[in-house]
Amino acid sequence: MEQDQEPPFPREPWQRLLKDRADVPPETTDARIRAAARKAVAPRAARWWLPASLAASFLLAVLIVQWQYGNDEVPAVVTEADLAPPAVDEAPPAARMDSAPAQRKESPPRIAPFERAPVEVAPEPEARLGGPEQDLKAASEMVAEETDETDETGETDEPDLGASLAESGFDSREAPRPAAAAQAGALAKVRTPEAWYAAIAALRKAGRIEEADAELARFEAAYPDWLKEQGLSKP
Amino acid sequence: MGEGDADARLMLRYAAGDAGAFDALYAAHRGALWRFIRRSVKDAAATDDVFQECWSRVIANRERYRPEARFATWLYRIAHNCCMDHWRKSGRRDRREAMDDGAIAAAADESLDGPVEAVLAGEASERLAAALERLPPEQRTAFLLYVEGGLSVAEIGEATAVNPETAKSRLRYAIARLKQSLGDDAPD
Repeated sequence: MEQDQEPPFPREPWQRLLKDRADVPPETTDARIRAAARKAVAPRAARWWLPASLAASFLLAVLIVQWQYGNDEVPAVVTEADLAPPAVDEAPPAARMDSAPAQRKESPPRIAPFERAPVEVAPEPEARLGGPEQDLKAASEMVAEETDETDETGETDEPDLGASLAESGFDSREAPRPAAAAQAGALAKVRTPEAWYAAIAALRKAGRIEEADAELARFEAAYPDWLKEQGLSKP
Repeated sequence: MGEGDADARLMLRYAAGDAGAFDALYAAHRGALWRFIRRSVKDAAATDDVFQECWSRVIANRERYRPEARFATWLYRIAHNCCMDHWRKSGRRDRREAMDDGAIAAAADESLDGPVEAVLAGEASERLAAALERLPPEQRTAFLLYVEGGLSVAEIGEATAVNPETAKSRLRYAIARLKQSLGDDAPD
């Protein structure tokens, strides 16, 4: 910076005259300014907690959501199959346990409550039923009606389930679970072979191939020559 | 400049977080800055406000400070701006310009702590204070920056945003008037 080559006048005598007034700032002002200066450069160690708490909250929220939905296995898209009544599982419990993980991998995740629903043919809202489901429901209702016809002694005028299954060539070694047996019985109790045939066709149309095949086997055992007599192919 | 300026180094140290450097800076400049502001704004309460505002700006702008000029130049430029803001806010500058000599002398007397101090301060100091009050603000500021702030003519120009020739001219007029007011008591 440019310095004065020649000062206009000496400072010191004038400074002495001015300083005679002994003007200085009050001590409180000194203390206030020094405190503000120290505060301005004080380490900000206490500021860490804000981002840390935000991160912890976010992590906790993510963990809760993952835990919640991970347990429930909520499907990304709820398909019609998810809404259908539970399938009659004819595999033995051990086999079902083994195949469970594989099923989870192959099919989209299902809502747990649907998977764990009772295996019985549960009444469903009418709006959800259609096609084979309605046929099955009709068959179940018929069973229910026949059960109502049971007299007070517990005797029925119809053969019991075991007899019906035996009559249809049912192999007890491959016995389905009670609910599945009930459904099989329900189909077997469809009196006319035409209705049974239609129900089997409906099952196959619904994609429940294994059940349709099993039911067809029972049907053929019950009515060995009916298909030939009617000139029909296997449903 | 600034390489050899001890105050500039202290300010840089303070900006880096050394509170002790600020204490040293403050101790070196508090008296002169206080007197500069007191004689500029005259009102005792306003002096305290402007003084604190000035140092607050120093603290707030510590990281923006660059030792391109002497620290004192930067400090007194801030102080001058604070005085200007005070004048704008209070509208006092115009009134100060219009004050007659008697009122100014009476106002100068108000700043004395008491009769004993007034006697001790000496007649020359009293007359200088009164003469300073009578100066036009620009000349008074130039004089105070030169005497109290220790600024050079060029630095006065920088602090008050005028060219060095104008600053020098204001300083010469100021010293001529003060000498005329003090008579034989004026320093050589």
